[in-house]
Amino acid sequence: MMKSVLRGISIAVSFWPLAIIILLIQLAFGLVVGSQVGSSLSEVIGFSKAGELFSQGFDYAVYQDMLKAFPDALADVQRSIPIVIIAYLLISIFLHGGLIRSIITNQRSWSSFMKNGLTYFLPFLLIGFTFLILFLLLTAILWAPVLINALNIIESIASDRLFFYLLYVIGIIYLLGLSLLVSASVNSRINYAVVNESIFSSLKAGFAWTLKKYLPLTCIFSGFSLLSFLLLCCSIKLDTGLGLNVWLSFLTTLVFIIFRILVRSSFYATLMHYCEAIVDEGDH
Amino acid sequence: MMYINIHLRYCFLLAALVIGLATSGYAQCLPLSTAQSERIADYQMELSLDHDQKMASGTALITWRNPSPKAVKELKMYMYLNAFKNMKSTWLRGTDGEVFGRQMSERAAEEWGYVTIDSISIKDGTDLTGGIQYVQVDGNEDDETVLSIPLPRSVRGGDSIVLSVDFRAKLPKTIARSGYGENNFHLFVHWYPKLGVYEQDKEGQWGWNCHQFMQRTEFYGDFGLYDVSITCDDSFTVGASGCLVAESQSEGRQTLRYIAEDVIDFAWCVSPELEVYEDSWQDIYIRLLVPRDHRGMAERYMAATKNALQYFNDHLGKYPYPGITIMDPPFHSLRNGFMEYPTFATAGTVYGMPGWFKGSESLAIHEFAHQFFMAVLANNEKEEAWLDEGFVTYYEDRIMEAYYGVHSSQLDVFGIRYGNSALSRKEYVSMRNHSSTAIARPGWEITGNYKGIVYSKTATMLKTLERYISRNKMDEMMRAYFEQYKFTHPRTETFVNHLKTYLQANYSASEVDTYLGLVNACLHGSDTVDYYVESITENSTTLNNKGALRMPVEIELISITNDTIRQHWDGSSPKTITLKDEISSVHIDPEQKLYLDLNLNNNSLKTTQTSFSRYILKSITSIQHALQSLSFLL
Ligand SMILES: [Zn+2]
Repeated sequence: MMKSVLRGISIAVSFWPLAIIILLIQLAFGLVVGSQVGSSLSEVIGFSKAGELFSQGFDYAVYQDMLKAFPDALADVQRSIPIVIIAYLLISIFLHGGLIRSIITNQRSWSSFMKNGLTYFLPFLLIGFTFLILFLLLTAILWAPVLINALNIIESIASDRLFFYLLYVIGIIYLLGLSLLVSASVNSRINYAVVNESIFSSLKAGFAWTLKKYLPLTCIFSGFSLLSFLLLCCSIKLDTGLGLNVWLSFLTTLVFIIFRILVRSSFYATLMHYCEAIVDEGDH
Repeated sequence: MMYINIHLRYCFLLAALVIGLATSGYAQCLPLSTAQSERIADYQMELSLDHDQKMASGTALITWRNPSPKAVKELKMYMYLNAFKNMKSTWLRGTDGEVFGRQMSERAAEEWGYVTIDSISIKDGTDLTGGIQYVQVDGNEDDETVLSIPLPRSVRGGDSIVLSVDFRAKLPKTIARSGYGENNFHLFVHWYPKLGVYEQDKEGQWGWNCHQFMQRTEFYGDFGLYDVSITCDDSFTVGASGCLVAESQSEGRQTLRYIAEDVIDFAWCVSPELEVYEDSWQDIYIRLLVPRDHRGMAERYMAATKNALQYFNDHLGKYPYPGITIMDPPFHSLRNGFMEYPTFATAGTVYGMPGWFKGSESLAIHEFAHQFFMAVLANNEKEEAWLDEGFVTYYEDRIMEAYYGVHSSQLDVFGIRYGNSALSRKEYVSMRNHSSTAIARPGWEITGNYKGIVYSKTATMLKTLERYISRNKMDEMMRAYFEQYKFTHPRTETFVNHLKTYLQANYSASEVDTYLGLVNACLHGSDTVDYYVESITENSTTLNNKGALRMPVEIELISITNDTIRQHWDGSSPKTITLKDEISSVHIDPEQKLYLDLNLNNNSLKTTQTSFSRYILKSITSIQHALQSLSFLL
């Protein structure tokens, strides 16, 4: 497993231009929202001294007065965010198609990446959609009973520590479920990219392989997720805790985002190596 | 701070009482030697708790002194636990049947509570039981929260009467505050037959002020001495108003005797889950009762209590009681929390409360601050809640900001932060409708956003007054108010007259009119103020007000040549100012003295536009992080 992880990381790093492309695509989507935020703020408080104060740092009174006077001040932003997410996820599926097939076939040209992305877009979209439904089902099954009965549980449970432990236990089960779904999702796509059979057979194969290797796959998922989460925390901490200049803070955050992109690519490449969809040259 | 495991204390009990009093590092709760108040109603109670039945029963010897020159032939008592007897009480009719997310009509018979008098007699043996009856002073003939006790002979002015009352107080499963929860948690508040207040009304007529229990109205009681002995299972931790002066154990039961002096009420709780933390501030004994799971909060509660004691001492007056008990209810009984009783307050938190959120400290300080208002400046909260809740919120905000940061006293995480005053102001200015926001009204007349009016508008009004007259003057005025009226029942007019006298001694006639006008407009009216800069046209600017309330303010104008010009504006609008040079920016009230202004953002206008690169860049990276997190799942 460790061999696959190390190999996965080195493959992901060798595909670094792809990480840059993903970063730029994300940046473009971020810019859509960011420019809307900027123009909305400029429009409603741009000519006020309160706006000057707000531009130097978050001020609750300015923010609340702005929302009171202009309840729709951020409506455009709120409308854009779901669209941006959906659009990015679609592009993301395209990128996965290119990435997975390119890594498997060790094709490094831009044209083959695009071709692979287009070829696998629809099947990967269907696979992604299937897992999205499973993901929503898992979320509902695990969390809905707790949320619906929260008041009853709180008032009858002897201690809130137990209540939080209950939440932790559900959280761990949820993560284990997520691990299964995410690994199966990636493995199904790898399978499809390798064997090129039906989506259903790839889903079956993806699940079968994931269940067979559930423990190591969960370790891989947990490790990469944790790493990505730690990078996110460090990024937030640096952004809010050090009082850096806004541009310096922005650039630092971009570096963290590139690392997070590489972490995800490494996760994919690790799974590919682990299921022997890619074979090291020395292993021939 | 010292931690005591209450369950291991048996062997140390005597030693703790005899030696500990003299040698411990913190002050002890010792009853005072002199009365601080005119004691009108004294209660001597002996109670036994049957925790299986959720019932305390016993005898109360109630001594009432007639404070009027008139002979009194009837007594009136609060029987407030009957608010939770059934759905017909005025308290529950004031709700839509749902309290804190629970439908009350669905509860089992044994989950309701009540207080009932089995017998009542005068000390000489004259039985009054047959004559007592529930009366409905505020309508609703099904309400049983006020009891009338006709007397066979009058109590003359200045004379006293001693009643012996056998009663039972059965707790409900908690609806709000009073009640029982899981694992033998019991909180006895508004629980015993308690006398109303015999006083002169605004027209000077003597009579009982004894309202029914309503959802939004709380205390009004006379000062007195409470001597209360509680017998309960000896595995329970007990917390109560006053000082513990004696305790004994016998056959698995413990009897604890508490003395609370110069208080208007008495509350107590029992629970096997509570741990005791003791400390002191100067000679004030502090007792914290915290469930095991909230140990992490003990230090934070203790610091908050000491901060509040110190702050009040520096800015209002010395805490006049020998001790204070703060009880944090277990999580399952959270609806028992967040309330004040004399020398006893309930807080509330959850396991693992993060340090960046100070809601628990803020609430603990709020409930503690009530000691200075509800308990000592014991106004009629039913008719004029603002004199308590409004001042308490104002001081809560001040204390929180003094110790936890002006802009971050409530929340400070990931660059998002807010302080208490901003939150109070927001609760007032963000009200959907300001057409009925007069503060000084009885609780039952205030419809809509009660908190926004009684708590937040008052606190924001007081903050505005403070910014106009300066904090030092505000403190001087409030210190004198506290000193003069402590242990009485001040009314709205009492405070307003006090303020007027203070202002007259310190300010010009026009300033007195302005400041008093502001306070009266807020107390009795709904006028709002929203100053705004309407326009800047080259070298002239027009200012206006969207509301009908006005206060004089400073105007700061900056010309294109960067000269700063200050002008005074009395608030009469619209107002046009013309300068020699072109104007680059105008700022009404740049020091934000007029904190009541509904929108502070439109108080200024400038000809150049601010860019929000900070938020643009943060939005970009936040979106990127979010997309990256989501795509990990895909
Ligand atoms: Zn309060």
